[in-house]
Amino acid sequence: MDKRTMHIRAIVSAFVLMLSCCIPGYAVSADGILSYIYYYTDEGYHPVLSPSPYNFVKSVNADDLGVEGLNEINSIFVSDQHVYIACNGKIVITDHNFNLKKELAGFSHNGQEQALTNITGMWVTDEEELYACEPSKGRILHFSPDWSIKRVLEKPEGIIIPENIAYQPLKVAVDSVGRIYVVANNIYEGLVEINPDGSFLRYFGVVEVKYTPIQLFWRRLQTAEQRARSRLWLPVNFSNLSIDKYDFVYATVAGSGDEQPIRKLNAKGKNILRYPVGKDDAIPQGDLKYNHYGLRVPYGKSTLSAIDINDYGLYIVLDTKRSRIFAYDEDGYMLYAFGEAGTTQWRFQLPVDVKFMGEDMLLVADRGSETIKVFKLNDYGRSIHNAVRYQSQFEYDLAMEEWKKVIDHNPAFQYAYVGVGKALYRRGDYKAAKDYFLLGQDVYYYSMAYKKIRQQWAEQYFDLFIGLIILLFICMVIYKIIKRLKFQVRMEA
Amino acid sequence: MDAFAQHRVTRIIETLKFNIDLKEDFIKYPFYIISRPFKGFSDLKYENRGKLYFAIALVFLMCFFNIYNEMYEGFVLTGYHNENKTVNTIYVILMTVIPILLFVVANWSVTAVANGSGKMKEIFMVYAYASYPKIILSLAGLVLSNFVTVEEAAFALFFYSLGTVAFVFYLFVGLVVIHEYTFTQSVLMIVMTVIVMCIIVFITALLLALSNEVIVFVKTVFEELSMRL
Repeated sequence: MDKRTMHIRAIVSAFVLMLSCCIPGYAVSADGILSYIYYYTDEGYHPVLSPSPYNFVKSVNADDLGVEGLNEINSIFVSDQHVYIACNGKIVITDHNFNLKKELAGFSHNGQEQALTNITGMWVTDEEELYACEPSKGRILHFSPDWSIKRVLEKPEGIIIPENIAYQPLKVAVDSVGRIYVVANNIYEGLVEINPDGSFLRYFGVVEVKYTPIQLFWRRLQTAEQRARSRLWLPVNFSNLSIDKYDFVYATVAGSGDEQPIRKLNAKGKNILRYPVGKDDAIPQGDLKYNHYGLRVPYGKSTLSAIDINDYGLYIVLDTKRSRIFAYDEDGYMLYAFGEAGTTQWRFQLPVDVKFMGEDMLLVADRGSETIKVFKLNDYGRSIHNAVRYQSQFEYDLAMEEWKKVIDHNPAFQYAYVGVGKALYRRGDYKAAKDYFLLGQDVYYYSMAYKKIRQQWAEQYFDLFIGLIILLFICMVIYKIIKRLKFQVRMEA
Repeated sequence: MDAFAQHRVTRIIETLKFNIDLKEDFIKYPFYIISRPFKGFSDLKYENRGKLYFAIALVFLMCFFNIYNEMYEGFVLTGYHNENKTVNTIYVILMTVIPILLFVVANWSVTAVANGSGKMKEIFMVYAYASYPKIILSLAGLVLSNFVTVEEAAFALFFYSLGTVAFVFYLFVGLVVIHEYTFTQSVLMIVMTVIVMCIIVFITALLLALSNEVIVFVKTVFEELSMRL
C-alpha cells in the first residue's frame, strides 16, 4: 500500500468518525460498557446483552480533586450539596461538581488533636451532619454541619458483646429521627441499633443460621472433639446498609449461599423486601446464572457489598466479586446490570461503593484505581428510571409511554412488556394487556387479565347459555308429552 | 393369480370385519377394566378380550398426546409462552416408546425367571390398558390448563397427577393378575423390574461406547491397510 492511499483512507475514516459523532439521536452509545438483563425462557434465565443504561462521564482522581491521594477508598456518600469520599486517614468533601470543599484529616476533641485513621463507612443526615466509622479505634465520629467534631460515639453502653471481641463499627446509617444503625465487625447478632443519645438499643434484623439436613446428619455423627474443632456455624453478617426516605433499612448480606442477600427491614427487623410474584428463582440477588467452579475467575453467587436507594424505591446493589452493578425496582424486578472488571476507564478494578447523585448521575468508588467513576443516565436508562418512577406514583399511562421507549431500545427487556400490560389492564383493555403479559412471560399478571376476559365472556354469553338450557328443557317436555300421547293413542287402539 | 390375490384381500377384510368391534375394544372393555380392574385383567388373560391392535393403537395415541401436550399446554402451567413454538417430535416419540419397550422387556425378563405366568404380549397389553385412563385424564388436564388462572392451576395439575396415579394403580393390578403373584411377590417384582431397567440402560450405554471403540479400531486398520496397498 502506498502512502497516498493510506492518506486517503485516513481522511475518509476520520470523516466517518466525525460524522458518527454528529448523528443526532445517537444518545444511547454503549461506550463499550458491558450491560445485560436476564431473559426468561423455558430453560430458565439467561443473560442477554442490552444497551448500557449509563454513559461514562469521567473518572475523578486525587489530582482532579487537588488532594494528595485517595488511597483505600472505602465509602462515598452523596448529600444534597456535597460528596463525601472516605479514604485512609481523611475524608474528602467536595461539591457535586467535584470542587474541593474541605479535606478532613483530623479533629480536636477534649482539647487534643487527633488524626483520622481508616474511615470505612459514612452517613450524612439531612441536616448535613456527618457520621463516620473508625473501626481501628472502635468509635463513630459525629461531625456538625461545619465539619467540626460534635461528639465521639464510643462502644455503646449496655451492648452485649463478648469480652475478647473488639467493637469495630464498619458501616453506619442514621434515620430521620437520629437512631443509628451500625454494621460491626465480628458481631453476628445483626445490626447494632443505637439510640440518638448514643446508648445501645437492640440488635436488629438478625440473620438466622440455616442448616441443611446433610450438615445436621454429619454433625450427629461427629464426636464432641470433632465438633469442637470444626468451624463455627456463624450467621452471615451484613455487609452494608442504607436507609430510604421512609426510614426503612436496606441491608446487604455478603455471605455465600444466602437466599435473600438483599433485605428491607421493617421496625420489627423483619425482611419485607418485595419479590417478583410467582418467580421464586428470580429474587434480587445479583447474578441469577453463574459459574460454580473457576480457575483464576470468580465463581459462585454475587458478593453484594453496597446498596443505595433513590426516591422512588429503585435500588442498586454492587457486586464486588464480578464488579457489576444491579438495579431493581421496588417490586424486585431486575432493571439492568452493568459494569465489568478491567483497567479501562469505565471498568472497575475493585469497586467498593456505589451511590446515586441527583436524578441522573451514578458514582462508583473504585479502590483499585483510586478514583470515583462518574456515570450519567442515557436515554435508555432515563426511560427505565422514569417508567419506574411513574409506576411508583401509580401513573401507569405515563409509565407505559416510557416502557414503550425502553422496548424500542431493547426488545429483549421482558419486564417492560409487563409494564405496558399493566397500563393497558388499568385502562380495561384486557385482551391487549394479556398479550403484553404473555410477551413479558408473567404468569401472575397474565392470570389477572385472563380472569377478566373470561368473566366478560361469561357475562356476554350468559343469556344465550340460560336460553339454551330452557330450550332444551322445553324440548324434553314436549317430547315426553308427545310420547305419552302416542302411548295413549296406541292404548285406545 | 389376480383372482387369488383378490380373494385373499377380501378374506382379510372379512376377518377384520368379523373380529374388530370398535365400540367393544375402544370403549366398553377399557372402561370395564377401569371399573373392575381385577376381573377386567383376568378377562384379558383367560377370555382373550384384550386386543393387541388396541395396545399398538394406544402407543400411537400416547405419542400423539405427548406431542400435543408439549405443543398446547397452557401458559399458566408451562410459565413460558412462545408464538413460534417448536417441538422435537422424534425426541418426544422416542421418550414415549423407549420407556414402554424398556419396561416390557425388563418385566418379562424378571417374571420369566420368577415363575410369572404372563407372556410378553400380555405385559405389553396391560401397560397399554393401564395407560388408557391416564391419557383421558391428562387430556382433560391439557384442555383445562388453557382455561385456568394461576389460582386454579391446581385443578389442571390435579388431572395430570390423578392420571399418573391411576396409571400406576392399574399397571400394578394388571401385572398382579397376569402373573398370578401374591401382593409381596408383585412388589418385589416391581422393584426387580426397576433394577433390571437400570441394568439394561447401563449395558446399552456400555455397548454403544465400546462398539464405537471397535468401529474406530476397524476403521484405522482399514485405513492403514489401504494406505499401504
